[in-house]
Amino acid sequence: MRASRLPPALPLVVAGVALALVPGLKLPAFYESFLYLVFFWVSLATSWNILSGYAGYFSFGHAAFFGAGVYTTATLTTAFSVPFLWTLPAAGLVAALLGSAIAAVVFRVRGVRGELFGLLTLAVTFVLSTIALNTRLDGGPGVFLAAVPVPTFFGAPATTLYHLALAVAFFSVFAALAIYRSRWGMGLFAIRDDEDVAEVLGVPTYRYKLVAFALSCFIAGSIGGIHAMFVTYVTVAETFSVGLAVDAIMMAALGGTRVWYGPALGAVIVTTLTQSFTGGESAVLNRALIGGILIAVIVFLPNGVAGGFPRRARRAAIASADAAPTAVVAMKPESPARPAAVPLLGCVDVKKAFRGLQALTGATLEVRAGEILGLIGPNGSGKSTLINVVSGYYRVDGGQIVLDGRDIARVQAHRIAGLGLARTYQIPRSFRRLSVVDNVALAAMFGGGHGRAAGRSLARSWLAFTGLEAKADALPDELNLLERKFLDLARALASEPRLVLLDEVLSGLTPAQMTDALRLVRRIRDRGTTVVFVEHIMRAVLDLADRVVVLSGGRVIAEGPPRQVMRDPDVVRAYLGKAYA
Amino acid sequence: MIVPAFFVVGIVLEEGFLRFKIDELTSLIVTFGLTVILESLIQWIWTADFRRLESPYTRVSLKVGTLFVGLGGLLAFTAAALLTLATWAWLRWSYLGKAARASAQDGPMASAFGVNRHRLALLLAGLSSAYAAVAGLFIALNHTLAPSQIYSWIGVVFAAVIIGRLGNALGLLAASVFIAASEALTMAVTAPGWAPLVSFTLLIVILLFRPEL
Amino acid sequence: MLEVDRLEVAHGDAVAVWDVSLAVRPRDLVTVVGPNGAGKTTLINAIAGLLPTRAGTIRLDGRELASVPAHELCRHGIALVPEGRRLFPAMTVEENLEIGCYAPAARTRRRQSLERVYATFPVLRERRRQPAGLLSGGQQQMVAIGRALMAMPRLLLLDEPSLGLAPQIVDQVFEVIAGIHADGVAVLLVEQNIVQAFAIAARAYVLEHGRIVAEGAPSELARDARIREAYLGQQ
Repeated sequence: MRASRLPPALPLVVAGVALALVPGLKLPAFYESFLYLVFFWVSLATSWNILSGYAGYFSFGHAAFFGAGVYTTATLTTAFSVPFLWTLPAAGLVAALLGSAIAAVVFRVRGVRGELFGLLTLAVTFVLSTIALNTRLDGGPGVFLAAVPVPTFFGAPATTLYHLALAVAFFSVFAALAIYRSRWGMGLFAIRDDEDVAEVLGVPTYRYKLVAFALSCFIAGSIGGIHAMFVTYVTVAETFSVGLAVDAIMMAALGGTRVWYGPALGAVIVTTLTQSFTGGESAVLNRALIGGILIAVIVFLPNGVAGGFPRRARRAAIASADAAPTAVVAMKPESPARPAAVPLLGCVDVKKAFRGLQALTGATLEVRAGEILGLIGPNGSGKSTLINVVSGYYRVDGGQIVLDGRDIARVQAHRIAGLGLARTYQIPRSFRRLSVVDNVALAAMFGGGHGRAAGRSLARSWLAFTGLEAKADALPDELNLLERKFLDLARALASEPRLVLLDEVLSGLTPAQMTDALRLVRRIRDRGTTVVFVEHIMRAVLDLADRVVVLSGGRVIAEGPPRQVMRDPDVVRAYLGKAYA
Repeated sequence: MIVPAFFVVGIVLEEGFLRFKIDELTSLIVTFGLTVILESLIQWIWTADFRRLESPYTRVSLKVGTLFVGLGGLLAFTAAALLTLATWAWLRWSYLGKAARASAQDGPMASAFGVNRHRLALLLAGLSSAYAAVAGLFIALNHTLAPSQIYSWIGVVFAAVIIGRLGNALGLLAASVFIAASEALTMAVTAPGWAPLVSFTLLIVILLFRPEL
Repeated sequence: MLEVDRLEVAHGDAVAVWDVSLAVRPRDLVTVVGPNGAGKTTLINAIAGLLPTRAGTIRLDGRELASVPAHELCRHGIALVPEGRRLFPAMTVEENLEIGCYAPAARTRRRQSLERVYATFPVLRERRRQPAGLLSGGQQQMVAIGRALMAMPRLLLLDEPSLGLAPQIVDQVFEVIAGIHADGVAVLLVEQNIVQAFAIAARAYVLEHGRIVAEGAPSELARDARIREAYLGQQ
């Protein structure tokens, strides 16, 4: 996702103006209808993509919100004689409110993702259609709108509808572009790749998803209101049709769900193909052809037509990129800290259990500002759990966690990031479809509170700090293990944390790579960041740690300088059993 | 005749999904694409008119106590019950059934004890496709058909999937009966049109409060 | 019987095990000990066919195992008791055991095998119809061992059987393992708990950071400073 290489909004505006002038050409009515349909599908597909494509929450209920808009307009114009134009914002708002209400509840439930979200949104469509069918909204026979007056600014009523649809389509594509290039868009893409990591990094996932969904529904509702007037006769079956939602999804998938213009492209392709075969028997078969094309594209170009090309361009760009990162850049050491006696982080009697397994049974320890603290213990002693609980990835069952005087035990993960705490993962969890620089920029933006441009440039300097600047535009999968660990580190550092938690950062590295990594960790501390690291490799612990805390059976059994602790009989017993103590 | 053919179709599809490493959501889109293709073909061959499968079964009604039961519906219910029971029994007692359940809970461990998961996946895909064919047969028997009808069944199928996550074939039968009963009850108490509302609201509630189901 | 020669196993590009050679002869009880993160589970999973190997060979009775697909390995007489038990939690105890003899050859002796397992672990007979997920840690470990025994293995692989168990239960489990060995099954045991492992093993290897750093008879190794170093670092 490199904004600098995408066409700016200018061609979009030019196209919009050009299309607005088309009715002036006095072409046969067929062309206006055709373009109307294009705008219709562009709106639906693009709006669907705003949540579902960007954030990965595939909704099958787009027809529900479209229908909400349709029936809002239908009801307001026929039953309440509201002028048509006023019903349009109402249609959008009703749909948006409906979507927000549903999202507000659904997004709180952690388990509803993926297929479950799809199924739930589908169920909403059926519920709404039943309501419409059985109340005075429709009641069965449908709603006739032929008698409703349509304003005629630009000529025939059909032309007005044309321009209205153009406006909605333009708005939806413009919104998609704006979001794509904003912090919000980046957050949504991060959510798609790994929502939990994004949350811990500082992305307000709940809020972002909710607003994206509301916007998506608003657009669907608006185009619904317009379409009600276009068809002039509205029925439940045709409106709340699953086929409609499926068509929008297919268009977005065909064009590419990860790009702002993908759904629009797909909509144009499909509508054009559909309309080119309107005559005779083959009209029916052209749908089959479209289905076939879609399947072929999905299988061979998983990122859609639009997504197909950039990959090749990027591969060429990094073909010249180089070897292993040796963090050579000499940075001025900021306030080289001496381990002070002031505790930066304190855990008091922290407890956590998973389905009957007590991982932490009352862990009490403190981390002093400016030190490198090693957290060790036999397998199953609770080290990783402690990191997960402190960073907010898991909720504690009991006890306190105090960061800089503030109890963070029950604070939401994305706020903890903002309070100056960052972590890495035992197996590096990068956002696989964001570039290296974007991975780090995300942390700078959401953990450090910077804007998008500032975040990007900060990211580049952090990549330089860890020696990865040559691979800035590559994808994480293209890096080797050490580079991915350094990426994880750069990402953790980009939010300028006061405390960074490293989870087995040395595992899997060769001795030479380990030396590089240890050197980098020391430089991190020298810049003023406190480090807590979990490790098994004893030589490294002895080499790196100022102080060591030993966990066993979910609680702390010893702490102090490394060599002293490793001779402590309790510790020896925990590792080797009684015979050796 | 039709059922075995669909069994084969299921296998072919699944093999394709495995070969191309297509994930679950993408496979949903692919099958939607197939739906569109099939819908067009059907429309091309048989036109979009509503048609009815005429057969001696559809006109017979049986008297059960004081109720009249259409034979077509009775056959459908019996087939469904039998298939469900047979599936439950197969899953519970046969070795393949146990292998399927084990594979669902811990795939690599099932493999470690000799379960060929690739072949199992193909078998299950074929079976699910064949079951769908059976359902289709009974739908043809009892309802009017038109290409546009395809989508109206998706809701029911999805509902079954959610309930099916109960993992237990008997639970699925019980839940389906419960939903059908609640729909019928709603129809009797209020206007018939409200029935789907009840079942789908129930579904939404289940999804929200027990997603791990 | 089992010969591992210069094995190298990697997770992606993280090399977990390299240049490891070991051998298990028929009726041997061999143990591989080492600290957390040394690569013990990786090693045993590679031998059991759950992980692909990057270099080196694994031979069972002379036959190269790398070319054998995962689900056919149990036919060659290897059964695994994995780390953390990995039972099928929603299936009953008896069903878990039955999956153990899924392979056709073992299936024909199902009834006898079941009887033997229940004889070895009487408590399982009482709980045969309970879902395995509801049992205590020690009982689950017994089910896991029983499941492996149902496959009628000639070589039994055990991955950290003592993990997460109370000391008395650990004693019981190791008694059982010793008993299985006495019945003629070769055992390769990977363990973090040195005391128990050395008590029953005839030969031991010490794995540190993916490489074998010492091997020999437990009684000699126990006094070797390298073990202490591997676990606690250089003093």
